[in-house]
Amino acid sequence: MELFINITLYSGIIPLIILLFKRIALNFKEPIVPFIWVTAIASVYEIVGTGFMQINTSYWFQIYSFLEIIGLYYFFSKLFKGRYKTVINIFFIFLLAVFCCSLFLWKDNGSLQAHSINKSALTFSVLIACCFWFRDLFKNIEVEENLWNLSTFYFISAVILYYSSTLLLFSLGNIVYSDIYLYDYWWINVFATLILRMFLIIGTWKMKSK
Amino acid sequence: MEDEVQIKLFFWIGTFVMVFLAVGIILISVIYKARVDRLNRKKSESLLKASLDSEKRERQRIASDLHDGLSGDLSAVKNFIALLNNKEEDYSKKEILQEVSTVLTHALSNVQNISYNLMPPLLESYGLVPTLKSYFDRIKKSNNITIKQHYFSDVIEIPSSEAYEIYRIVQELTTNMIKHGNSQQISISITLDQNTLLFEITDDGAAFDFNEKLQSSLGMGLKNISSRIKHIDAKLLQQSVSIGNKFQIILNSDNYVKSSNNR
Repeated sequence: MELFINITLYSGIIPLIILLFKRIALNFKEPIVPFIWVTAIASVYEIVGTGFMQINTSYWFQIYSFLEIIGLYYFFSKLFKGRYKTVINIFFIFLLAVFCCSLFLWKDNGSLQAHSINKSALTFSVLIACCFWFRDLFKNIEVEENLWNLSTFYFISAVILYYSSTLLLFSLGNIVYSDIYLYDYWWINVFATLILRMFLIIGTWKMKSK
Repeated sequence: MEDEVQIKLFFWIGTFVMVFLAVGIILISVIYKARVDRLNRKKSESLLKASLDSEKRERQRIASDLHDGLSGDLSAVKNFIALLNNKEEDYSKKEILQEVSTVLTHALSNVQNISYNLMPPLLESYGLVPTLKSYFDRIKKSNNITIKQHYFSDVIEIPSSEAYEIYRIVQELTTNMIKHGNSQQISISITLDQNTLLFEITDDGAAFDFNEKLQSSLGMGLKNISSRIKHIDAKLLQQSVSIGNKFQIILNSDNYVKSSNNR
């Protein structure tokens, strides 16, 4: 299990390394770039901050939620190139509002409740945004483009799989499990994160170099 | 306690359903997109086939109109001029008639060349190899180059539509070799390996990368070769050689190839 967790942790840095090799790590015209940075920062923090320095995860959970909102907002707003602008902005304001509320529920000895409401709101928004992307895909189905060669397809699949599989873990976590029992179910998050990162790796691999 | 069990059950079933739905959406999009792409490809292939067939029909029509119509008329005019020339006694007029006759001969030869290039008459009646031989004979006459030919048989019975496309491809490749590559020597060979026909065309001219030129070229020549290759379901390979170019056309000929050797 430890090896599995380590693979998941380290795999978060690989998409950024790929972008660095392709010299597009700072090309913010690419919608996914900020989210890749967030994922890499999360990996590094979890390895160093949580793993080696044993810093309380509560702080990180709250900061990560904020970075995640920013990264995904950037991804979807750039991806749709102005389409669904109103909906995406409403979601962004909604997520920021939820994040502000979560600050009142946050405690340094237990951030599960704050984390849960942030994740639930984010999952809802991400799944709706993914539905828009699939709707656009079916609308423009005549355009001959192999999905397996489309980096965006991997990114959308990554987020849809991750947020779908962890929706109930985060939304029910606070109701059902205490911090101790939660770890019995935490492997779902680890596994979902691994899938997310694998898809990010493939997606960044498929991106065109500068 | 019972509530907790129910919520845990709800959690597991809910998570499973969510994952199932996510995977389902992704798979459905992939499968549906692949199916639409396949249909589009089939549609464009049949459009390509229709356009190549209609091009062939149109070439055939124009070639026969030129040959039977214009060429015949020019021959008749030439005969009349010859008759006039025989009856005429005025030397200056005879000279003019002689000039007209020469111009007519030249025009007749041009019309026959155009007609031949549009649709070689040998292709339908004698097949691919005699057509290629005749084509290379004409090339040798008009260009100072050596052409080596090797055919495993004089009779290769492939459908005339495929023979026509192969002929056009060879014609386009060799024209390019002479025009752009300044080739001095061209070799063509046709071999049969089990059920595969292999056409090899090599030259000693300037080397070029077919695929690279296909992407960058604005002309229609290479695009036509590529379309024709696709149309007859063949493969075009470019082998790397130290001097010049080497192209291979591989045509699967499962049921229809018969050579005189096999008879």
